[in-house]
Amino acid sequence: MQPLEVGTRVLCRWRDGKHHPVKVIERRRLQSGGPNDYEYYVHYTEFNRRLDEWVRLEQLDLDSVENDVDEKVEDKVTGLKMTRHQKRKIDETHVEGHEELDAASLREHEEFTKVKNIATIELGRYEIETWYFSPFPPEYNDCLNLYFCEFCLTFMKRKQQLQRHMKKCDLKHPPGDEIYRSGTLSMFEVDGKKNKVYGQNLCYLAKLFLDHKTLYYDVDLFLFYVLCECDDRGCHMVGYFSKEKHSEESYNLACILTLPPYQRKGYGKFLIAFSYELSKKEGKVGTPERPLSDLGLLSYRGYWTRVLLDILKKHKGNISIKELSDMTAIRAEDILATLQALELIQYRKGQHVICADPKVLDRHLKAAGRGGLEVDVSKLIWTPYKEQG
Amino acid sequence: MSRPSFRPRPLDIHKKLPILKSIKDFEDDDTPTSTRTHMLRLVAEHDNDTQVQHVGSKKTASEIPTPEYLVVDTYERDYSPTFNQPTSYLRARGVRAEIGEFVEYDLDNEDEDWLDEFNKEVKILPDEKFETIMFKLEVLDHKAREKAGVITPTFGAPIPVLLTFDAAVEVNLTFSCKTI
Repeated sequence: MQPLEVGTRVLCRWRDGKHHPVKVIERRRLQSGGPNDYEYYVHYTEFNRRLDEWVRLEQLDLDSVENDVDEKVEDKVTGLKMTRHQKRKIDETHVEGHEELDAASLREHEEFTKVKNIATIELGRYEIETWYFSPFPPEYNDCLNLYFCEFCLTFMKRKQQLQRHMKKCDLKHPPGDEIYRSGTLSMFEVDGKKNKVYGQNLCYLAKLFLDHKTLYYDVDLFLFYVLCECDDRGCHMVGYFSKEKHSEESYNLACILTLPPYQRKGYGKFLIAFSYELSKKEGKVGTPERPLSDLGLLSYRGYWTRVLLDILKKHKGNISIKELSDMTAIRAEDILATLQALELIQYRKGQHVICADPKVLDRHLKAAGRGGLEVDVSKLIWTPYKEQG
Repeated sequence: MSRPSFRPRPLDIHKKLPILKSIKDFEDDDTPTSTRTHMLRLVAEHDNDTQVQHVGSKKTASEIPTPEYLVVDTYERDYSPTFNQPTSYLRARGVRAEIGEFVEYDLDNEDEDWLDEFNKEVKILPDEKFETIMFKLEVLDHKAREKAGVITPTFGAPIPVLLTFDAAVEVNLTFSCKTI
């Protein structure tokens, strides 16, 4: 049979054993097969593109093929050649979390990063499927798997290279100062200027799991807060966030990531809470850099809801948004957005009021989920960044 | 999450806002918002029916599917259990290339293939020694060219290594006491 065209819509068997609608993004000939044996890179239209993957023909339900592949149309905004379907896909599916990106830059981004380059990475105890494209140096173009040293984050192409590296690598924790320890959980602050290679490696790694991350080669301007679980093999990174040393826009967090094997255990919430504890110590309000991913937005909404509603439940008397902001280091706009989304701010008798019926608050708190691991501020030993010399 | 489009007056973030603790407080007026007050009261009164709503919002979180991961079976061999956590918080040391004998060069595929070929008949050069030689060559070459003013120290951008005879001689001298 003729190979399927890029742009074809068809049903594909996913890991749950069921068929889901996909669109063919790219195809390539199988090395072992005949001239018409291809594998296909597909996007599951119901899901985020982190689940895009290469599939064999057997997984596709050929009876469901939609054969109306569009002619290529020139996109007026970007000049990129793309099919109407591609345009529609972008227009339809990329609203949440990408509001701040204009259509042109979003399309350019999608075109450039449409196929994941690295399929899996090995990092310490886990072999992890990647989520997105990451711009590794060109000598890694032909690599499907990468092996990371879990401590210094050097990456290699072959397992034996990693094993040789592990015999000599003397790092057992991120190369920075430990600023927090509670039980087996430790936080390290790594200065991108003092540890350039580590910072860059961390960015390459993180980009594999973050869609809209700008890869700064200039890591000098950032501090990296690396959260670890520690045991007798060392301090194992579970996630991190980065922060500009000086932010004009009062960002207290640039990128945030919990590595997939550690997700849904409360570490993301811990990282968010930690970023606000640092802001409180600095005596500043802060906000995360946008855009937030779907998972990021969910975590932030949950955090803001928990912190603000806990205060409203206990507070006696009147309170201003500014006071809430001073207490929590959450930016006033974020407080307003949170309370308005929960419909807790109402206008009555010519003035705004906060509706804080305990039952309603409890319901929202329950929906916001558990707070995860608590940050014990008494265990944070830290002074805000100061330029040396 | 939708919110009403009408907002009578911009909210002053410095202004103290009353906190209404009870549904009763909401009912003492007849403003157009009474419909929503009514809804709020309904929500509050059904406090035993929390399950439905709760499950709904929790589902959103668990419904975002993500790719998968596996446990590496060689992990316990590759990484040795030799870490002793001190009681005090760990402090950063200097960058390791500058403090000790750490060889910051890992053989890549091309190196390994070349070395296999080189050692095909007799094992002349062990992996580790080859790494050390490459590392010293890189460092010395860089220093030599920096001294000559050919390159200026730059951040970020990788600097291509150009092997020169002088650097090679110097490495050879470093190794002269040991047999390669």
